[in-house]
Amino acid sequence: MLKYFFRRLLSFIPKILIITILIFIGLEFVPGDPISYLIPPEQMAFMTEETIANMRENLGLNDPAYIRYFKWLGNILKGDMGYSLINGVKISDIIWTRLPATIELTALGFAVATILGLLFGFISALKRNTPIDYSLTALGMVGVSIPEFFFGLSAIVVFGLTFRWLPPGGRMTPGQPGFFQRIPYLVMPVLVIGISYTATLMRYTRGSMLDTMNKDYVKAARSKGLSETRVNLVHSFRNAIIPVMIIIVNRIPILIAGTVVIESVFNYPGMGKLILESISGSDMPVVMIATFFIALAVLIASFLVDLLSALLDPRIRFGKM
Amino acid sequence: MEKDYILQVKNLETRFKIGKKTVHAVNDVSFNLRRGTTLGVVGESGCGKSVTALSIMQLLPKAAHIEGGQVLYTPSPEQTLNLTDFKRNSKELRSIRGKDIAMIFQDSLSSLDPVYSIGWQIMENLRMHEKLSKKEAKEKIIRMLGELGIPSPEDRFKSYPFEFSGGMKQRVMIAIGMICNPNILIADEPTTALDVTIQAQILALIKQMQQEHGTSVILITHNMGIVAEICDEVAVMYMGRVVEFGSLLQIFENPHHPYTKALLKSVPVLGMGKDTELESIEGTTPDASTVFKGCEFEPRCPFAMKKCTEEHPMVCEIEEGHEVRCWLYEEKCKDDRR
Amino acid sequence: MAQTKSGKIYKSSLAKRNMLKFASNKLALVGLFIILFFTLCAIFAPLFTSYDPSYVDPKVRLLPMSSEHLLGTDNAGRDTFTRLLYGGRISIAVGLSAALGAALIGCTLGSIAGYYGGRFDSFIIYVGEIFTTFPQIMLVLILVGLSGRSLANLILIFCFTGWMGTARLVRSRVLSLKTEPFVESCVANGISGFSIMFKHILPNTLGPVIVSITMQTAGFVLAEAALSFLGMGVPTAIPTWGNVINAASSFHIFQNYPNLWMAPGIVISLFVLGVNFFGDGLRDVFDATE
Repeated sequence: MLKYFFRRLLSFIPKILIITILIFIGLEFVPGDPISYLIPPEQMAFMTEETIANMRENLGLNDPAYIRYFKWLGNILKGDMGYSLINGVKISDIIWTRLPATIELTALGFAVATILGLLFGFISALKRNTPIDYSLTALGMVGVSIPEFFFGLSAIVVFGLTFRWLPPGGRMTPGQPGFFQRIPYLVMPVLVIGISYTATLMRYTRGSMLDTMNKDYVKAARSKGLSETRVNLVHSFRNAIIPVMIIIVNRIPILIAGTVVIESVFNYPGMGKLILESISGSDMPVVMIATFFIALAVLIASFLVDLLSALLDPRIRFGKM
Repeated sequence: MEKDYILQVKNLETRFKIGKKTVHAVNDVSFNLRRGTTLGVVGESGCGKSVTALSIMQLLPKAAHIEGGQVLYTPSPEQTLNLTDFKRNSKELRSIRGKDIAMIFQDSLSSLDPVYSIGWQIMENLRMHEKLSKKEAKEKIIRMLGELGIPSPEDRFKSYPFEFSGGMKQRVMIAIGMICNPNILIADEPTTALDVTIQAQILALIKQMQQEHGTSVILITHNMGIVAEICDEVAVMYMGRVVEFGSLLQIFENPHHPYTKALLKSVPVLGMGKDTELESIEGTTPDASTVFKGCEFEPRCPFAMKKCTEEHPMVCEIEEGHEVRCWLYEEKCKDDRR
Repeated sequence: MAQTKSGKIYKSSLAKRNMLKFASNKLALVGLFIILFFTLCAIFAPLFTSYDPSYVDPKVRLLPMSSEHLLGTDNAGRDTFTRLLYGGRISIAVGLSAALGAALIGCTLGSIAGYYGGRFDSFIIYVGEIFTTFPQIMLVLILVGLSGRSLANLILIFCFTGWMGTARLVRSRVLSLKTEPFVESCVANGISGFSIMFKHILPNTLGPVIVSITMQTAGFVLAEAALSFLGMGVPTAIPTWGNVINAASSFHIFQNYPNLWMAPGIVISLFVLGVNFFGDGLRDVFDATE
């Protein structure tokens, strides 16, 4: 297992490097002078053309691209990511306030949706061709067809404005920053962001479950005299989720992408909304850095799911698959 | 004599519902398993022999159900249970599965759960039925693995199925089956997926297990050679029915049913004369969902008569313990039993 | 092979059999009906409405639903029903053309990667993996931000960011088809690799590709709607389903004129549902294993 862990970890390093290169290229393509986001704007206001030119030399902006890349990478690692073009705030500061909000939203959404998707798929397969199965399947179809933002808007109208059970948007009531006080704000976004993911997962879990339920080893397990619960959970379900893990990994980016829409709908101050606002304001340095963190989050999440797959399946662990 | 039978299958009927069609997979099947002996159930693929085996412990797929008949299990002279009385996954039936009656499946390669170690899987059966500490259980399992000829069983205990060869996997399956020392072992084509050399080893192991533990065995196979090698009694099945039942000698030396005769002629048997030609059975097996008014073998039978198309043949006992289901022997019948 | 009760086997062509199989799937037929309905409504929009979808008339701002304006008018006085009809044209066209474009890229890269294998294969796989690390919407947003909002840009960006799924699909199909005896016999007969690839292997991957095009169309219609809703998709002046919702994005309108965003929301949901039903039916037809 440890060997597998390090092998996977090692394969992620080149990916992260490639992503940083892509982000760097993206920054290079951004219209405008890189110096404008590399030094604090208040400082820039007092500088003459000459000092700026000196600055440029000092910052190494006239160096060849690859040297600038490594300098840039070094700065990122030190936490120095430059400044926002719009309000001159340090990009790192913006990220550190927005990232936790998004991680909270997506991690909860991911957890809730995964549990629901697996559970519904499991039930659907066990109750195959019954009204329960049909209605779950139909709900799943509807779930992948309705746009997330439409779900969100409708939820706001129903639960936020009509019944007033939940706050219609935002992340917290001013002065009440505790996690439990934030929960009412999280309920709707967390549920809505995972709807399509839940539906997809349910569908695959159902299929995979039906597949495994017909496997010889399940019959063999039953011939040992095990209870149906044990046969279904310990043998069928345990094996059925292994192929589903691939779907989970593939859907993680889509789930995270949902933050752009969901955070806008619920006015939730996270990375998705940040990216959208920054693009609207042509604040590309912020966009690029934010995207870098999102990609990093996707990589880390995939890595964790990969590890989980390996825990679940000895064949992966021993590199036989 | 009845008490001598550990398992009696009487007029068993199993049906499959596929869409709107009903397939009669097992029709009026009866046979007896004598304590401590091996019964062979032979027939082509699709003749219902596997379904019969699955019906005994009701391990059938959801689309199938037992419509009638009895499966009488007599663990001790004082006690007889009718297994078809129990609900499919009832507690009573589950306490018999794996403990009293164990099963080895056709495809050893896919009968082991790929995500658990083989020790865990044997342990699962053992600890389900016997109250043993983990340590005791492990010792017993390792002993069993050793008996079954698995090298360095202590290390292999923790290995996963994908680390085993086909023959080794089948040994593990036998270990799972035998670990609770069952009264009956049902082996469904236990050697089909294996190489010929391994086949012999596995059969020898089953034989050895039977002798050591006094187990009664039902061996399901399409291979007449295997039957000749280890069975005491034989039931020949065709299209969901037992067409002939008798001792090994009766079936091989004195086959009566045209199907049995044809089947024997189509298999090479060691020691047969070099001038004897192998014959194939004319025609093909009809679709399983076909409903016959008369005898199922009639379309392929060289001795078919008018009566064969009109009425199902009845079972005739030709001599003590030798039964045939064929109109040819109507007069020879000792007594009428439909 | 369909078999009658008497055991007689009658022959039927593959296409006919597939058509029958599809027609027996009621949901798929419903899906096809929905797709046709919305497409025809969009194409023949002028027959159903006399308004101009882009005509701004401040005098009739935010009218409620009435017989004159079936779904009311928006903030700029445009008839919502008309905009939905015309919006369907752009939304469906964007979805379909982007799906076709992405499938074209995906098929080309996937089949080459699968057939020739080796370094090019690993390269494509790796590029695909890197691509999928960036969530699609964010990639699209950035590219829209860099290239500016226009219809053509959006379609191109969709194609550029949506080919990975089809490529993976085609590659794995090609990999398994490559080992089939019929390909080996082609090789033995000296048929060129190119010809084997495009005449013998690729047609065999068509079924799943068509299913994936259908599903991607649904996905791109949803993506267009989401992007336009966020104000980053098709230029606001062009009516699309997403832009119709976008017209209701201010909180005041959102709260007080639900008809302005409910109607397009329902239209998009219904259309996408129809496409998904249809795609599911196709999947059943093409997937021999199911």
